[in-house]
Amino acid sequence: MFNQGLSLEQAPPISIVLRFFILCAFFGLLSGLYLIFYGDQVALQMSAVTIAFVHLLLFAVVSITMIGVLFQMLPVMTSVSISNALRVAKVMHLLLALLAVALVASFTLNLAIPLAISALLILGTISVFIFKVLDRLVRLEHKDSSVVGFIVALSSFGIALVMAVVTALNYSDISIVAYDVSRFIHIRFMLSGWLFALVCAVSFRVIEMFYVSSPYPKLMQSYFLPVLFIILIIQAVTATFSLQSAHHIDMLLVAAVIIYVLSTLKLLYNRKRPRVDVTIRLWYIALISWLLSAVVYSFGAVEVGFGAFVFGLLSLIYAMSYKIVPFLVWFHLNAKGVLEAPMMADVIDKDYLKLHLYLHILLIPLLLLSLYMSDILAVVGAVFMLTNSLYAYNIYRATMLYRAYLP
Amino acid sequence: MSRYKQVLLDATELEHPEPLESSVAIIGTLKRGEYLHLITKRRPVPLLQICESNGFAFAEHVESNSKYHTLVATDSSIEVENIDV
Repeated sequence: MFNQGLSLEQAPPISIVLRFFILCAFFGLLSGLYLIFYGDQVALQMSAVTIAFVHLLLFAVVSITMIGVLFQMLPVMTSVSISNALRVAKVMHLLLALLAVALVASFTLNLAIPLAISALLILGTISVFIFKVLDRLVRLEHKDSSVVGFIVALSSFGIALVMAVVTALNYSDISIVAYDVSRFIHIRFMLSGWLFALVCAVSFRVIEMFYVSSPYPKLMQSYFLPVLFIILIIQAVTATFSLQSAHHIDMLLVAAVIIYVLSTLKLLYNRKRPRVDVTIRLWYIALISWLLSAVVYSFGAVEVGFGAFVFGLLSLIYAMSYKIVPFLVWFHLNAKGVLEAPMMADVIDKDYLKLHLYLHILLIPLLLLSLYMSDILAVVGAVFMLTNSLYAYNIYRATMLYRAYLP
Repeated sequence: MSRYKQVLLDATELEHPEPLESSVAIIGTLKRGEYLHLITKRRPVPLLQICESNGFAFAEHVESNSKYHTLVATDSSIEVENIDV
């Protein structure tokens, strides 16, 4: 028998993750609006507006939200807590929101110097966070698969941001590394090293816990992400000599996504109690999107592959939000002595959850149609705005419920 | 043999968040002389935090890497750390 000392410090304030989810919905709304106004230009490959939209989605909507989720996940999954978490989160939340707007505006308006400054400030803001967290993670005596995964994801994020600054400087004719090379490395470390690795690190723990599945194979938990990181390093070094050769290594990254997707689908399909709710459907949508992304990318359809990958990421963010928020509302109320707090399933209205799911699914045929008719992107934008309004409302309602029950 | 009455909850096959919700629901109905005996596959950290912040007595026993026993009592006269699992 033992009574280990527990501290509520392990549970960061609920307001941190809620404010990041609300910001996610806000940038989601902005992305929809952007598509309505600039849809025709977004459809043009490699236009400044396309790059702006990609950063609006991948940095403002996805990456900033992931940083917010890390404030919650790190203490729970690795026992590493961020000191002064609330204050740090508030500062980062505000700075990153402003910088994301500056970044997207600089891309849209083709402003080279503000772009470089925004990229530098983003690097400065996030690198402090990355260094502090990495330092704590590396010092941990027992490093399980999640800890290793977080180390890989955060290291990759750091590298991706440095390459982002180098790429942005190229726009101002300051060339440290050739534009094509820095951009190539930036994209790989951002997508595979940061976002994909982070999802893997979190899934290694939550798929088994949330959905009562078997655990991922031990071999996969131990080596998958370190090998992925080594591949990315080799690819980056290769890119400095030959971009063409580095492109061939993409097939290993594609293989990594397929391995992850098939392993996760197998675990979810063989669950002991296969209960179906909105979050599990969103997981399936994400996994199938990623499978499609990997397949079409390997056949050379880069833009479609990229779009499917981002759609998968968005599905995962919604899935995780709708698991995390009800749990946190319930948990924090109970921890404050409100044992009559509403059950987790009642924190967010089930009908609104389903409506969000249906709107999200509606985006699939619309996005496919937009491949042939770029005018449809404005409709995609409108539906995406609706989806994110609903998402914002659901998170807002959960926040209000929490406040209503506070003693 | 314990002189206290055990309320057993085997949550090893329950999907998140059922173990946690059911545990707290049971804790809310415990009478004098009763304690909750929860069996889970993982250490139920959130439950322990809820117990700590609400002043409930709790004790843990690790049977294996995938089997945790947690005893919780609201009755302050029960010394859960002295109860055998």
